[in-house]
Parts: sequence; C-alpha cells; structure tokens
Amino acid sequence: MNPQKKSREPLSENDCDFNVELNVPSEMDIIPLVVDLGTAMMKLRGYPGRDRDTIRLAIHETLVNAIQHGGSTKPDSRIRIRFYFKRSSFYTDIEDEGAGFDPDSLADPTCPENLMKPGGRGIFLVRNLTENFKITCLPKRGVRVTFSLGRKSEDEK
Amino acid sequence: MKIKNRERNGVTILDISGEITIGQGDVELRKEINDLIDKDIRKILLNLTRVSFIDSSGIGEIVRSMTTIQKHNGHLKLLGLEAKVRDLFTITRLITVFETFENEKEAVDSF
Repeated sequence: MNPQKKSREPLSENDCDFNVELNVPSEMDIIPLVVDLGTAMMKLRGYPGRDRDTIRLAIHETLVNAIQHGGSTKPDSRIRIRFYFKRSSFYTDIEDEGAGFDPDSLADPTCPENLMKPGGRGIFLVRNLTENFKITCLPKRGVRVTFSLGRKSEDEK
Repeated sequence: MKIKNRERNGVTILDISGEITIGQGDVELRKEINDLIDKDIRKILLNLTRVSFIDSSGIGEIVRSMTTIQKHNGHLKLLGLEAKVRDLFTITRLITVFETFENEKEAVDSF
C-alpha cells in the first residue's frame, strides 16, 4: 500500500460520518476561515472546483447576511455553522441570533425596477445557485439558513 | 483587489485583479470611478479578466458604477467576464443591461 497515494484519494460516501460544527463570533473577519473550511471538506470528498466555487459564494453571502442583519443589534452575538454530507450532497447550516426574515418578502432583484439597484442580490444568489435552500425561524434563538449542493457527474466537472 | 488604470484610443481601461467583495474592492472601485468622473472621463471599460471572485456587493458596485457614469452622460462596458462571473451576471439578468466583450480591441472600438 502506498500511504501517500491513499491520502490524496477522495473519501467515499461510506466513510465515517463527516460533519463539522463551528460556533464563531458574528464578525466579518471570520468569513474567510469558515469559507475555507467548508470548501476544503468538499475538496476532500472530491467535489470539483466549480462546485466549491458555488458553495464558497453561498457560504460567504449567507455569513455576510447573518453578520449584517442577524447579530447587528446584539453585542457578542454568535453564529453557528454546521457542514455535513448527506447522501451525495454537501450541506451547510448557518444560524444567527437575529429576528429572521421571510425570503418571499425580499424584492426580486431581476425585476426591471430593481435591476439597477446596487443591493438586494445576496440571498437571491444563494437561493438560485444551491439546492434545498430553506430558512427556518428558531423561536427565541434566531434563524437558520440551510442549503446544499449535490456532486455533479464526472462529465460536468 | 488591485486596479490599474490605462488609456487606449480615448477609452480608459481599468484592469481589475483579485476579489471584488464587501469591504475589499467595492469601496476602491467606487473611489476610482468617482475620480475618473471628476477628471471628466466618460468612456470606461472594466477589464474583469483577472477577477478571481466577486460577491453580491461587488456586483452591486459595478451596477452603481454604471448608474454613476450614465448620470454624467458617460458609458461603462465590461471586458473578459470569466465563466463564474458571467454566470452571476446571467442569473441576476444584469447581462441584459451591460455590454460585454471578450476582445479588448472590439470593446474599445465600440465606444
């Protein structure tokens, strides 16, 4: 057996239960660390670069939203993140301590009246780029945003 | 993010490299556009060929740049949208409002 070669091979779906949970301060400086961890997990499982780029943007946008809107009124607020694999998809949960929001109430940035506005595209992009996008209100705790991305076939890499 | 400013046939080309994200690039781009407007420059080509990552704030800043220049009767066009960036402009339908080019000479000649 060549241990070096084995260490470079992606882990299979049947390997150990692989999930990581983080509890971090609600600060912008923390975003690159969290993004790098999530995309590194995907790389370890053999997800192609294009998928990792998609999730990089999704994690980044959701964290920015959580920091700007979720914890802005509370000092020392926290964000909880969970990365995990389920079947052939990589899942992300991001929980903040904010009041939450209804994604259906967000203005559609592709409408003509909104198209040239500078803001309002963050959650729209996450919703459109990922799968199983969901916002869950957590009573007295905040809001959880969940999204996933399935592994593409070899042809799509 | 880095911005290099050069001129070709009366068109100011901003070669942007790195990431255009919230707090890292969006403010610099806004300042650069405002400086060009102050210098009466009205033909601006944003070269995004070497942009490795852009978020919604970066996209928003490009939109803001466009509206700022249009208010001053100028034109802003985009050069070299890499596949990931083009995807974002397509999803947000901004691809319908920006003139985009793959070739610099064609872009410059279009002004």
